[in-house]
Amino acid sequence: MFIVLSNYCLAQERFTLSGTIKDEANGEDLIGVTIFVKELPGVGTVTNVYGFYSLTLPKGNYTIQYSYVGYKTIEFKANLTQNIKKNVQIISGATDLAVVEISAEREDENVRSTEMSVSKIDMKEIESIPVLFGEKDILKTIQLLPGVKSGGEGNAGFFVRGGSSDQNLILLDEAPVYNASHLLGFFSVFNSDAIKDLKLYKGGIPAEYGGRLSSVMDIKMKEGNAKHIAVTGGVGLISSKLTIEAPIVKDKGSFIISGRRTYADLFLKLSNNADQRNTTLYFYDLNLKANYQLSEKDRLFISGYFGRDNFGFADRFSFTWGNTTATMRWNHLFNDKVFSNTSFIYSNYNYKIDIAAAGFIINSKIQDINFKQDFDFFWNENNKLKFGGDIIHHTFDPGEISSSGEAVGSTKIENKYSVESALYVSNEHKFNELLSATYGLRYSNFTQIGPGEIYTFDKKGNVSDTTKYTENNPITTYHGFEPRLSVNYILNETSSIKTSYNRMYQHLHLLSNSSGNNPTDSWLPSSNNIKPEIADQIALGYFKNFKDNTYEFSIETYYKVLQNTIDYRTGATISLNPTVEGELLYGKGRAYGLEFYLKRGKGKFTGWISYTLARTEVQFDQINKGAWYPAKQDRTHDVSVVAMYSLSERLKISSTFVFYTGNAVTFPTGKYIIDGQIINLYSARNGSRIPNYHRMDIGVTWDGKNYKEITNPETGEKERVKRKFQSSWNFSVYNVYARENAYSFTFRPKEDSPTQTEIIQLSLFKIIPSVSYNFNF
Amino acid sequence: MLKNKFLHTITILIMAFVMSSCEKVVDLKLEDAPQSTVVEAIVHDSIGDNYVIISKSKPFNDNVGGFETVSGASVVISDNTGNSFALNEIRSGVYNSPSLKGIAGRTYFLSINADGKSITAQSVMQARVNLDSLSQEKVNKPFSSDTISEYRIFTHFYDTPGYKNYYRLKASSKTVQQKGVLVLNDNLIEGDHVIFPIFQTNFLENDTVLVQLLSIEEENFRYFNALTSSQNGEVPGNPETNLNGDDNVVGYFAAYAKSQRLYVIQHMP
Repeated sequence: MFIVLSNYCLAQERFTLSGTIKDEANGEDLIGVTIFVKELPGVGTVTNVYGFYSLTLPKGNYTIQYSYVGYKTIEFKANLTQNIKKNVQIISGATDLAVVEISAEREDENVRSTEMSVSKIDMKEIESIPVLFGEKDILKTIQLLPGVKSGGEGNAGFFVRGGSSDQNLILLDEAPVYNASHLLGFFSVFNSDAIKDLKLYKGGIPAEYGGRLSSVMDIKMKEGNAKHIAVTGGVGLISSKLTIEAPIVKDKGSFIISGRRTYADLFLKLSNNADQRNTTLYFYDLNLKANYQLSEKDRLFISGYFGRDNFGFADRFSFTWGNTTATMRWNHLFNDKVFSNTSFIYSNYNYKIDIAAAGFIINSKIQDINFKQDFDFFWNENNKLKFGGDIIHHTFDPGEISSSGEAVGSTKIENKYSVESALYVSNEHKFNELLSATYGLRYSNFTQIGPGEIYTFDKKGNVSDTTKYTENNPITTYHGFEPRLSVNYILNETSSIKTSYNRMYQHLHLLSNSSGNNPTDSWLPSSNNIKPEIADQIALGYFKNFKDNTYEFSIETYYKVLQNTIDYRTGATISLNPTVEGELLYGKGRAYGLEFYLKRGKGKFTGWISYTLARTEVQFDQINKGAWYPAKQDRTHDVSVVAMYSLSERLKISSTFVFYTGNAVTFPTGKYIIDGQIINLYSARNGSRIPNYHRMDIGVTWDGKNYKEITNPETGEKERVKRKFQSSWNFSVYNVYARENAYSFTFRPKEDSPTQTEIIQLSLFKIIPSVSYNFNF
Repeated sequence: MLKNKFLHTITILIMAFVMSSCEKVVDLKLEDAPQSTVVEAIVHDSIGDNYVIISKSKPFNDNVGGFETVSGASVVISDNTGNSFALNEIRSGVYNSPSLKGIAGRTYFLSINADGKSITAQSVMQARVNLDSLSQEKVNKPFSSDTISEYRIFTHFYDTPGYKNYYRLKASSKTVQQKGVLVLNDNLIEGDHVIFPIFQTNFLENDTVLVQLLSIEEENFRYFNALTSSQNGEVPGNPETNLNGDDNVVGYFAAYAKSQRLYVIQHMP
């Protein structure tokens, strides 16, 4: 890697231009603004996630362009005879509402950047996509992109390139979110009003990220309006939300506070049925963030998330769960080339089940305390170096039962502790105008520490030995190197080919007894029994833009090899089992596929088509006689179509259609009698398929009169002026043609005739209309 | 009026959310699998108290008639001290030995020859744990408007300290069959005086209930645990069996140390 140093040793005087770029209207940092040098074609940089940029050039006079789609390009004449600090505020140029802004980036960024296998979502874009209950949801929208597959209805989990849903690292302002779903998966925990930016890496994952095999979803919260107080809100059929942002000191610091609550259960109170009146069912969440510029070189951010779901029945039963995350960050500029960020991160996910009727309470949690240090070194115009490290202390509390009754004793499954750490270095290197690459290396280490009783198991999963360890005593350590590489070769002005390779280690494993994400799923660390899961992925892609970047097209293919994949013994007991590690089996996996994407991003008619053809298989010596078989998330075909059309300035219609192959499942093939009862007989694991899933949604967004016309007193011309109060109505219909998609199948004896059996299909949503009203001022 | 109508509409919409889930009986074409031989074999620690039931599986969607039994099999149970008992077919597919009595600590071997297939298995008889007494409780049914009182039985026993015990609990009356299979380990009750409910099955007033506390091997505990959770669809599949000999054999062979009591359900206000 350090061969690149030789470029640097030319004996020409060089100076650095650096600064931050913000939105003129609200002071939000802008991520990914492109900075060009007119006189040096191909030379430039982009702002980092804190809006900072730095560009080192030979001494001279340059015209610098700051360009961001949807914003007016700004030019700056730089006489670079010394280091220059230039903070820029750019103005949103989106006054023509008929043009739906589809991307907040340079139009051909998809072709030019070394990033491949990356999905991004523009927060403006998701407003018009129809969704369940009219609650716009970034997690649901990203599942409409190629290679990202929905976990199914009633499931916020998603599958990336054949990975299971625990193989996605979901970060909210750097804090890992362990359960990203509300109400058993009907909503995600991310309130889109508080979210600024989302990026999902499916492959070519940069070295700064690690810990999960399949993907990284990096979500950034808004900083809050640094110019003036702003209020955003929405009222829907089942939920409402409100966001307030304001400067702390104008242009120096700001905060945002955003809350959301569902009130489905308030309507249950109106029911004539006593059972329904007594049912509680809601969630709420709260996002908070504040930032303050301490000095020219230092900036402090504090952000937090708190969310909770409540499900209960009178005072007899309650079940609550939720995440809490907190992040404290300190940005520091060592000089105009070295940007540093230091983070302290806390994350906690827990659930509590209180069965008052039976007199016991179950508690479980996972908690992380994390320290992270990152450096951005803007070395020269061709090299941008990133390096840093982090260390995480994990606490796993698999479950504790406290009982007041006599029937069940109080018990606690021992906590597990571990320390996960990593060091990384990564360089974004432009070799010439056509060839660029991002390459890096990550070293990761995972140590399981005491106190605790450590079990070893025999071949059948019975405990064969128990060892006691004292506090902080290391039990098992795993470590390894994770190389990362991503290369872009530009073929011509409008097309490029890209390739990438990455190796990932995963030390946390989700124990889930369903294909979905249940609130009671618990995480298990790597241990003396569980080896880290390892994935190697290569990908190749072709990117092409047509008709002045009106159409974006890409085709990508990937091949992934997985080691130490985990599955369960048949009939395993997963929850509240102290010897659960004995229920696990270890095997290997492979996943490969082809992803097509065509998007129209300009004009009245916008949208995209994505199609994925894929296969995901696993192999375990003890399952299906050692043969390869489809993983449950194996999907042969997956199609999404999103279309949006502006009928007029104020009226937009949209529609989505999805189709995918049903999950691989294990259905019984026969039945037999044991102990006088009918038992299902199975043949191969995952040998059957749920019927194909398809659905169409439609939506209409009707904007209020958000502009007024005034006559300019000087020129006499009419001008459009944005009103302070902006509003819109959103109507949507989920599952328009009322397809009964299968959520689950139950195979059971008939109630009136127990010697016979029947198959019951459960479908969740037939047709769901909804309406919501959104405003901001 | 209009407001009421509006609220009513909203309520319907919310119901659509909470209750819109729709259940229906469907026809689903399932793969055909080869027919399996089913063996259910138990040796108890009292004389003549044993049986081996041999039957066949059938396709899941076949709801006509009963299950095929396997007659004319040669069934032998022997132990590790050299005793051997040939079982007689007392009903079609049901085999018994009137002279066999299980003894704690001995290993029992099952050997079956049926349809030209040979099936073998073994199991160790555990020490008996006494079922000390039984009690009852009226079942609280918060979600039901049913007015007939149902009762739940509690078993009282003393878990042998310092020993990994595994139990199977059975309860039935003339009118009520046990629902599912109830097995437990002593992880939560090690060395305790245990009061444990037979929670899946409720009984009615004046029912005479036969309750059995069976001390079983870990292997058999795992088998029933797996059987139960695989039926609920958590990790579906055939539980690992201790029967050897053929791929298409399901079921189990187990030696059970049995302690049993009768209990008559009393009225409770």
